[in-house]
Amino acid sequence: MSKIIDTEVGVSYREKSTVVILIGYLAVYSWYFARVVEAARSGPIAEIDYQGLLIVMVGVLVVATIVAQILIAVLAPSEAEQVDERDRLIGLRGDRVAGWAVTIGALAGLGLAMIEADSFWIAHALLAGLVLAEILKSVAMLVNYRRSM
Amino acid sequence: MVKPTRITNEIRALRFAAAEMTQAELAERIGVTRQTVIAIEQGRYSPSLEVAFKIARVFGVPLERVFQYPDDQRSGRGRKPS
Repeated sequence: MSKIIDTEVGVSYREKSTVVILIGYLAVYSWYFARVVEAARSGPIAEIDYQGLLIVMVGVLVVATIVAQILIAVLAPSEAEQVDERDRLIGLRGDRVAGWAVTIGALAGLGLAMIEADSFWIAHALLAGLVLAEILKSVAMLVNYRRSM
Repeated sequence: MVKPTRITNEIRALRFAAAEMTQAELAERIGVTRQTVIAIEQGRYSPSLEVAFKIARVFGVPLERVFQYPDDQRSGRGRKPS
């Protein structure tokens, strides 16, 4: 009868999609890095066709994210697209964390370029920064949703 | 990690007085998620001034009946010039 003291936190739409994005990134990039490490072990780095793999992976990631978002929206239509000011603030805080990872990745790429490292390493320093940024952003958002605000 | 807010609120009591309005209903009327209402009620999130006014309007009370901020003795409040 009295739902007034209902403080069970529940999970908002945005929080659910953050979890989905995090799992998606972890799955796809684990697959990618496993393939690349395997290739690096079995032959010279200069011969690794990471470009093709990278393009396929980004495509898979984009499609998977869209499908997952549609699934969530279909399963919980009332909550879909309801993004409020707290969601936006949590997103911005996540972006701030992500910005650091991108910066560190860019600086690492710059350093590798200055010592004329193989383009494979430059590309992967930049990629690592971007991947880390997305993962840290999702984790920071989930922590913010759960704890600090 | 985040400094706790010193703003307190009476939203739970006001909801109870308003025919036991649920958090979900309040959320819908002010256009935020239920999770945000919970966070505001528990003092974990300070809403924007606009959302604060919307909450007060729902209950038909002035803003300071919904949110309170403690007087800070150390800041010398009340010792205004002139």
